[in-house]
Amino acid sequence: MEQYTDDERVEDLRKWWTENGSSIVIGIVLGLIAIFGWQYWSSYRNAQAEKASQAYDAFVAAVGKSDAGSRGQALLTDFPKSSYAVLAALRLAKLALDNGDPATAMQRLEWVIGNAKLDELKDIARLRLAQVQFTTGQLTEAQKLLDSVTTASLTAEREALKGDFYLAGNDIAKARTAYAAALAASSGNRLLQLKLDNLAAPTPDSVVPAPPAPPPPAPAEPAKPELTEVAPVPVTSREAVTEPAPVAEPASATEPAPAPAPDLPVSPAEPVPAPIIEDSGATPILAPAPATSGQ
Amino acid sequence: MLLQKIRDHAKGWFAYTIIGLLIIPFAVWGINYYFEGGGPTDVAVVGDSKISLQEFQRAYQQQRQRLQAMLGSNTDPALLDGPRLKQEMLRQLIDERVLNQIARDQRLRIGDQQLHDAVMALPIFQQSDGFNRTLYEQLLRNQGYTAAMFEEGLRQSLATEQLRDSVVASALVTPVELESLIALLKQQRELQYVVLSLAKYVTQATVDDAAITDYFEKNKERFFNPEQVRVQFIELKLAQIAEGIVVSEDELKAAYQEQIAKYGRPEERSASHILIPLPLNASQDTVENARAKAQQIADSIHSGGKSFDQALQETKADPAGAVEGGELGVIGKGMFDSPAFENALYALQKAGEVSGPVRMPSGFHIIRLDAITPAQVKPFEEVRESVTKDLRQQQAESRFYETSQTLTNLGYEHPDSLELAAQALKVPIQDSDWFSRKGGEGITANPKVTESAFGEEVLKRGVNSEPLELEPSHVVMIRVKEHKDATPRTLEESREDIVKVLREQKAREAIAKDAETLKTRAAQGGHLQTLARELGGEFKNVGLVGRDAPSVDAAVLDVAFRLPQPEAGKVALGTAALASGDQVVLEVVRVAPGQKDALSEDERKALTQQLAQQTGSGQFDKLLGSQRVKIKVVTHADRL
Repeated sequence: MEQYTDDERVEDLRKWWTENGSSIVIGIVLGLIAIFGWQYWSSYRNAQAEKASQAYDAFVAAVGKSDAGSRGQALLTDFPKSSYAVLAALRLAKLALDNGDPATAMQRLEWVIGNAKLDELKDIARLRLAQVQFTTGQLTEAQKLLDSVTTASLTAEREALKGDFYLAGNDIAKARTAYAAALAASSGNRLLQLKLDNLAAPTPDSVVPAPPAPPPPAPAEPAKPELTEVAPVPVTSREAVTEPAPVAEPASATEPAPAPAPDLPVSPAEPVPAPIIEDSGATPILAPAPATSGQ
Repeated sequence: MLLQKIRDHAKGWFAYTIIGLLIIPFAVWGINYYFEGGGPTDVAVVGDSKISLQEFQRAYQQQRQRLQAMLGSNTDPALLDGPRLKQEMLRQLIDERVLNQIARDQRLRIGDQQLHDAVMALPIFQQSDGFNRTLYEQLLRNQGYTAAMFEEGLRQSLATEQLRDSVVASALVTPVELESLIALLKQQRELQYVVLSLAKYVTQATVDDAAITDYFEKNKERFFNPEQVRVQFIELKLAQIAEGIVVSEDELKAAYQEQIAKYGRPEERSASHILIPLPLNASQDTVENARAKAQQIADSIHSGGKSFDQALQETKADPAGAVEGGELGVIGKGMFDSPAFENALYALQKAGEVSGPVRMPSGFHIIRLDAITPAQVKPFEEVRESVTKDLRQQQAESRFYETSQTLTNLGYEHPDSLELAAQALKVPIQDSDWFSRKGGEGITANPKVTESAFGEEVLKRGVNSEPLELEPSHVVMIRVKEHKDATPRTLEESREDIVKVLREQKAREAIAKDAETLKTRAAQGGHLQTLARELGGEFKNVGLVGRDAPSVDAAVLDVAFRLPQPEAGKVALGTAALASGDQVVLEVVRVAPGQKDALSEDERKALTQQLAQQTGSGQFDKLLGSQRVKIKVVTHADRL
């Protein structure tokens, strides 16, 4: 190991500084600029985000008033890159649809699909766009759009809409498959269950020709012991409706009890007054489904 | 010298390798890692943020307290301490973190003004005069938050609420969807069906002796007389003790003097007021203006410039601001939620005096005391009855307490007998009848008694029980007098039960067979009405019914609305078992979709809103679920 004198050491340092000094200074200055620049840039972006946030809150507070639309539009124009523009556009789409303007609603949703940064929000917008397209009769486009929804956790929503579309196109079998897939992905949604149950497939066992009306009372003649031998004659369902007959005694079970003549004019049963939904019927159906699994 | 040595040696590839190795941990974990003591106490890592055990514990304890307060004292402890609540809590915390990260990445931010408004609006920090800074700071301290922590947390939750609200509130329900939903929900089906009654089959079922013997042999272990005990007991009741208490005249008078306040009527004051009203969410400026105005009116009255009535008339006539006021009548204590009004009123000395402005939720009041009705005291004779009752009750309570203490002590000191306690307390020892674990008559119907009587101490060791408080002010102490083991029953003792079981069994078999026959023959073209007559069932034609028709059993409706829809000229056939055991064979004759006018305008609106809400929150949950997969979440459930 060589030994240096102090002078030689100072000399070495000086030489090294003249060679590298300027680049070190430049490096430090560049570094400082980068740090402060970054800080300035992020505080600017935060301030912009907060302005957008405030504009968004003001827009939400105005929903239901006349200037909601213009406030929303202003937000979209002033902060087009902000996520708040996406949130506002979703709400604007609903406002438009509720005002009977599906064309604008579709525009807004298309804008969300083009500008949202979250894939899930894009897919939610696609689902909604498909809903609107469907109402305006663009069934094929709507179906195609649904196929581009790829977020796995939105499967139930996508398949449920497919089911609705198939059903509207009278394609019962496909609707049934779609609803079943939606139900399987949703872990027990009552409304879906209802939709699926409503499309139960007929089997030879469960759907049979309507039976003839019971025979009229025939007191003079001995009753036929075997009623099953009566050949089934299809009659329209309405003719089969009769008033309930008194229940026969067990002893005379094989004899037909007096029943109203089948050709009596019998009005179709009166519709039962439906209780309002809040009471018992629809509310549980739409009650929040058990929390779906988050995968 | 040491430094010199290090410097000499720290050269070349060796030194650079060492430094390189040191750089890696600092670059990856930063220096914080070494100060925070690392990760083993984290219960979960969500993306780049961690949930510490401490944080989890705090959230869990808060949730526990909330649940306990909500469910009351008879909460199942398993519900509060079980792993499910912990898992659920951890899931919530993770979701919160995921949402915070989404909000951060999407640059959803809450500015200072928005934060300020939100804090001001939180009802928990409100007092009668609006936001209260002291209350705010105190509540935060109690919960162990600093203001900075709380405000940062609030910012984050407000930002995630913006996202949630937007997705949920913008969910669409198109008119077409609403129509088809109504058609589905309000659908009606035309039904007719036959009910085969189980009760009828049970009465018709016959059981022969061979079957009874056979069943008894096979199920012997199910037929036994249960274990029974008889107990001796001492009973203490407050009501009994109260009867035996005699109170003297002197005692009564003393009690009356002591509690004279209770037997009087409190002072009452009536008042008039001038009100400068304010809306509930009035801004600071509006409040200040109103305060100044109220002060001005109050000053003009105090200085003698105007009388109260003049001021009231003038301000009422003032078209600029609506001012209310007038006579209020008698104001008792506790009439208003906020005590400011009555405090001011009761602070006034005599009738005619006027207060300064008083802030109430409704606005600023200036109050005039109109009249004082002084407190009144009822004479002794009038309240004698109630004084006697109170005094007797009081003495009975303290005597009851003493005697039950004595009972506890003597029963414990002499565990082999109740005699001593009975003598000391001058109460009889009573005997119970035989009873099993299911309980018997009188005190033995109480589960506390049966539990104790069949318990380890009392039954096996034969000692006195602890004093059992059957209900407030009713205590017994028991000991077992006699005990009978469980004994197998004979065939004759069991016969009645067996016949019942077998009959029902047979009836169920028969009714199932008949229901099957009925269905087969209906499928072959038999009319339900005819078949019902033949098989002894009851035929019902209920016509068109909705999903919730009260006239039809829910089990029948459930099956009916899940049957395939029959085309014209056909019927859909199904069977349903009712909860009572009755069997039903039913036919759906036709299906009618729900009509547009099945719902009123309001109901349609409510339904639309419900559906939109459900759709929207479903979609938001799915968004969260999808992000939870994308943002890496590691949980350590074993550390909970």
